[in-house]
Amino acid sequence: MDRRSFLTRTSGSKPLVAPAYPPIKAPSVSSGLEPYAGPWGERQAAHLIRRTHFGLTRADLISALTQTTGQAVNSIVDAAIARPLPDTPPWYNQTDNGQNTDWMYEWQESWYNEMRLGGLRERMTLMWHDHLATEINVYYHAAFAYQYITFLRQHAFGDFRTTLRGIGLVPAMLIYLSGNVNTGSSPNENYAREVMELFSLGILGPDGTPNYTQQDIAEAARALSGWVVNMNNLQSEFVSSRHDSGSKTIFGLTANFDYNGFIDVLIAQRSSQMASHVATKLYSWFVHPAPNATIVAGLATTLKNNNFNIGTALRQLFKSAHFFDDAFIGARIKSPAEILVGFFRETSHASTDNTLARFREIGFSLGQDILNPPNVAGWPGYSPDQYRAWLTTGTVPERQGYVDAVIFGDGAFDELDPIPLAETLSDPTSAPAIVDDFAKHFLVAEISPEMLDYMTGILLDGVPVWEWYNIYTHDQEAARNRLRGLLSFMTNLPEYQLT
Amino acid sequence: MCDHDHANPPIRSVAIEDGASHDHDHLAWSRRDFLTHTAAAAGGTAFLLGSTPVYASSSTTLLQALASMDTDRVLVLIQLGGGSDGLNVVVPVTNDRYYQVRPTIAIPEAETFALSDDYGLHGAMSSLSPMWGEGKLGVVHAVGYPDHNLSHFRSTDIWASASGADETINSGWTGRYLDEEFPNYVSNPPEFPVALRIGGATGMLLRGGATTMGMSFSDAGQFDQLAATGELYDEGDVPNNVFGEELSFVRSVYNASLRYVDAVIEAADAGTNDPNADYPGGSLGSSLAIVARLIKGGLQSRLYVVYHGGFDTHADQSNSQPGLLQTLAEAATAFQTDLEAGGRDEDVLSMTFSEFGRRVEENGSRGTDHGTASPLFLFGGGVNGGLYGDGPDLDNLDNNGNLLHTTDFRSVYATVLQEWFGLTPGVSDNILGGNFNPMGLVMVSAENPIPLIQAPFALEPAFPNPFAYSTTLAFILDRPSQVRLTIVDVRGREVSHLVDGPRTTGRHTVRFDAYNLPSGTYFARLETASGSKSQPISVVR
Repeated sequence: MDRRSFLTRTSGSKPLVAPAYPPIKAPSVSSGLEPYAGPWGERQAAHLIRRTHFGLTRADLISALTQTTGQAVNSIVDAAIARPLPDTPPWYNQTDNGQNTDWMYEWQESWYNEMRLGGLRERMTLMWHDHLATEINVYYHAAFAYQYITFLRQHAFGDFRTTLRGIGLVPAMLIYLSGNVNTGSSPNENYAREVMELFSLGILGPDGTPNYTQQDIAEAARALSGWVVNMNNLQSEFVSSRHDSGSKTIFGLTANFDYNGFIDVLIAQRSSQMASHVATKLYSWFVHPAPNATIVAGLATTLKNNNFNIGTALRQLFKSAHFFDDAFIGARIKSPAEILVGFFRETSHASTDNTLARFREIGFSLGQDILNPPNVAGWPGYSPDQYRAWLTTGTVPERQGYVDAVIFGDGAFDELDPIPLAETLSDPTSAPAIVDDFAKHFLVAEISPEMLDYMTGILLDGVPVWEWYNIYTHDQEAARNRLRGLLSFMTNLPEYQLT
Repeated sequence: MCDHDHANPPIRSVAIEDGASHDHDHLAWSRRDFLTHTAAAAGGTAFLLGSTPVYASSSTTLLQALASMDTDRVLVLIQLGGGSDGLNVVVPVTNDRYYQVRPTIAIPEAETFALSDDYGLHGAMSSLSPMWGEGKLGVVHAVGYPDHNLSHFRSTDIWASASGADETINSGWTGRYLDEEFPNYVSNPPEFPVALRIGGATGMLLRGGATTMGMSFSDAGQFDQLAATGELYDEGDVPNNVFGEELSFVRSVYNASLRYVDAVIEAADAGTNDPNADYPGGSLGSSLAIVARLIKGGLQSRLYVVYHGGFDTHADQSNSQPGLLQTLAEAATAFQTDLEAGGRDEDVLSMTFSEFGRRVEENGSRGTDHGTASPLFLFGGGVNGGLYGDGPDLDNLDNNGNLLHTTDFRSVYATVLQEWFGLTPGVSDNILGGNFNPMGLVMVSAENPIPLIQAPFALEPAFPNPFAYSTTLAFILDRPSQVRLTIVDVRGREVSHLVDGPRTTGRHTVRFDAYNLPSGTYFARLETASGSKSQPISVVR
């Protein structure tokens, strides 16, 4: 499939709203990659958790605060690397596609559950899905989706060069970018182009010069030819009769390159560009959509000096003064997955099959159908030049509607019991304490004293502040209703859309 | 796979049944889908306003139908927050027991103005006397419900949701009324907020199946900001850094997504307050002034909710209650004056309510504790003025020393729904969850028919159309009639009949499932006493 033909396509059936905001430029922030040495309080610890998980939980926050910044970062990365894979679904090797749609849905839904539980591992898996994108609508096979996501999970923190070498032969990718129809007699440049343009190098290097030529793409396509997907065992295999075994010239080097030969020459000849490209992705995914050239260069050096180990680069980034620079705290628009999974984590709500099915549906509706990005470039909302695309006049009320549906109960969602939340987050007998603590937990922004007072008024509904104690201790149903109202008001504020 | 799903028509409902078939999901929830589909269907476009993406949809036939159905009648709810001490408002001036149990706070007869031989209105409310004299003020004695709850919160919820004391309902009675009136709100939102709330915290009043029919302002100042600047969230007041830039962007989208902003600003610009309407200072006066301005400016909202707090008079009640009542009376009088000057007073019914009244006996702090039943006021040009219901019996109290109600609050609501808005008893019962009789408090004369029934006879185009499996047909009756609604094929053969029986005046919707029909063109055919109509429909798979 040709990405160009996709550019006019839209996500689902919705028109793509073209961004009219000016191209963003990297914010001028002077802090660098040196280890963060500033205050380590709730604001910083919550920032670390919000950016590395799908939403904040009290338990994670307390855990981070009992450690130093460096320890907290290591704990998060270590846990993500050590996390076992989720249970293998029973259909993982099913060639019979009779229940394919059900299984694909099941796989999407189970991913939402894993996002809730899996911390940084799943944020990284989603990052790689966005970066090394495939669309299930194209390869249309649940077992391939299982293989693909499992591959991303297994390689999430490892040597990027190994990831790059493997991803092209994952059946989902082989089908999605036409590798399986790339033959010696009929070369197809689709994968050859995207692997360089999107997956590993980018069009231009850090110095502004092109990273490859059209000739490189055509020759690379020949090197990559011959791979197919065996539908009997659902594995990729090499068919030598489909391979172009002639000599090819790539990046000025001439040899009888095959798949591995091409990856080798790509790594050998373009390692600086590759390090810069991957560092840019990490930066824009975790810090700010507009990459800061200095930080990216530093991260790229780390990658090159550490066998392209992603975990190493992440540890450096998360521990840095730059990551904790106050200007970045709250400066990202939440993606739909962060809204969906985030509110469940923030309220310690457990998901059910029904809620997971609704996540899938609402995610689609909010512009993020996981396993189905709009095209091979991933979601516009994650790209540096269109990162505000998540939020439109259509998605704002829908995001609010989702949160309200969880709070008040609607369809698949049982109404939320906010009493345990108040007990976990705050002193549940004090209205001002609840408002303060809820605001810190749910809103990344500093809230003005006037707004806090106003929200206390919402909780109290006209009664004196000391009455709350009676309400809470004697009429928990009334307390529940008022807490739901407070929660709804808070999560309907613009500030709730930021993380 | 999903490609075939996406070709299906969206389901026009916010709720989705669990386990709905895969053909239907993805499409069940999305209001953005609805907006974009609507826009496409109606020739609207997604465009950009400044730097903010905006979805616009232009009028549809349904909106036109709604506009033609629109009643001019408006309900204004004035919430008296905290629990208003009704015995000191509608004072039982001939009741010795009243004066015995309230030695320091009872209102002497001389400080009241007479509503009847036995009851006088607190003198602080004397500005209401002209309205009372003109027969535009109704007072209902001792309104409450069985087994009254004394929690501010719970009882406010009960009043707002019209639930019984022992049940919890999470939507407002007014929200359910609006659901009834605007059944297709989600797919075809009107261009004005059907409800508008200024101040207070009882968001529940507006909550129904479709929760976003209304607009809420935290206070009059927030409204003024919107009217003055066109934005609700300040896009400029943000920190000067990366975070501030993002917050400003989010606020700009929020401002743009307040879909009713245009309608509200237009009405605010078109309406003015009459100089003779002397609104008192404070939030209630400001809020009612805004409501009058919007009504006079032509905003078509059906429901306004305003808030007047501070009635929780546990101590030194005589210091605070008179001021609260004076403000209420002066604001109501100014509001009425304002509407009369604009010729709209007969279209507007205003009603007070409070979560409860207060204890009959005063407490040791010269105040009153939480009680039960309390009087409420209805006023406006359409009100049949006077005292309604039986006065409270001070000698027959509940175990806590509180009044037993004499009128159930849901009877007052039934009065509003049936007499004011013209709903049938069946629909009213459905909204209120039981059979409550209206009180004859609203003047409904033959010369003053309920505008709702002026709807033209119509069969609306099916929506969606074309469709794969199911669509919704809507028809409007201008009078009660026998109705036959059938589906016929191109050769006139009846392939399905959907309705065969009597139907009431108003709009009715019928879902049509075409699972058994092959693709092709069919006609929905409506036969009634007012004539026949048909609409083509297409099944496309």
